[in-house]
Amino acid sequence: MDNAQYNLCCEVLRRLHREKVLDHMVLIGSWCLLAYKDYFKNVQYRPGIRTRDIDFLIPLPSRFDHKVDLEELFRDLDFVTSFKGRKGFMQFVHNDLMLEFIVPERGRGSSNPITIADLGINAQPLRFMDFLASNIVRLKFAGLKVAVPHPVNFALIKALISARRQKPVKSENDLRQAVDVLRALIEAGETASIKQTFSSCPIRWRKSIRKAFQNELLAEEISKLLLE
Amino acid sequence: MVLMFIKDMLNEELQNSIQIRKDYEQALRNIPKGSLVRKIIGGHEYFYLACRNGSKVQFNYLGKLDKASIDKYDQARIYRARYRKKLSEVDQQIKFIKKALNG
Repeated sequence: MDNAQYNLCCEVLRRLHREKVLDHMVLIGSWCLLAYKDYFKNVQYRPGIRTRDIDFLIPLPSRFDHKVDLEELFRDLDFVTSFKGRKGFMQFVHNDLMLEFIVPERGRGSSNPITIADLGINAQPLRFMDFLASNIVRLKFAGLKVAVPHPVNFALIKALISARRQKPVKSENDLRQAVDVLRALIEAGETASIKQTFSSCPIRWRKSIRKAFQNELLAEEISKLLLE
Repeated sequence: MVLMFIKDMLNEELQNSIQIRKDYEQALRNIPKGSLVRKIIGGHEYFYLACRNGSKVQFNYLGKLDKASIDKYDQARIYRARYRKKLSEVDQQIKFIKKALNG
C-alpha cells in the first residue's frame, strides 16, 4: 500500500504541475518531511511516519491566473469529494490519500471555509500559516520542484503547535518531528539560520517554543541553542 | 510513548477509513442507476436502461440517444465499478486496522 500511496501522491503533484497550479501551492504537513530528504542529502535524516492526508497551503492572495477544476482533475484517479466537519471544508478523498487545502488565517480569524474560485474548492483557514509561507524552498520531489516551507520554519511551527495540542501523543509527535528536522539542520551547519528565524518570531511564540523544547529531554542542544 | 503514538495514529486512520467508506458510498449513490442496453430493431438503434428492482430487472425505454448521453451512461457504469472496488479495499483496510488495534 505504501508504494501505491507514494505513486498516487506523485501523480497528484504531476497533475497539479501540468495544470500550472503547483507553483502557487506549498506542500505542508507530514508529507513535506519526505521532500526534506532532498534538502538534507548530505546529512543523516529520516522522515517520520506520514498520515494519509496531504495538506496544500495556498498563500493569500492566491496567484492563479487561470481556472482549473480540481475535482475533475482528480476524478479519474478515483478521488471523491468530501466535506469535513460542520463547516464543510472540502477534501478529495481516496483510500490511499486525502487532499486538503489550507489558507493562512488572519486577524481575529474566521473558521469559515475560504473559497478558492479558480480551483473550484474551499480551503480551511489555519493559524501560523503565513509564517510557513514566508520562507519557502523548492525541493525535488517526484521529479518536480515542489515548494515546501523552509525546514527551520517548519520545525519552529511544529514546536509551537505541540504546545497547543490537547492530546499528549499528538504533541509528542509534533515535537519529535521538530527535533528531527532541527537536528538535521544543526548537522548541516545551519545553526545561524535557526537562530535568525527564531529571533524573528514574536516574543510569545519564542516563549512557547522554548518551553516546548525545555520539556523534551532529548533536545537539550536545541534548548541551549534557542536560549543563547 | 511510541506505542501510544502508533495506536493513536491507527485510531485516526481507522476514523479516516470509516469516513472514506461513507464518501465512496455517497459517490455511488450520486451515480445514476442502471446499465445501458442497446437493441437494434428494424435497423435502428434504441436504448433501454436496465435497473434492478428487488429480484427483478426492469428495462426502461430511453429511445434513441446521442453520443454524449451514451458516454454519460458508460462513464457512470465505469465509475460505479471503480468505486465498488474502492469500497471493498477500504473494507479490507478497516479490517486490518481493527485487527492491529485489538491484537
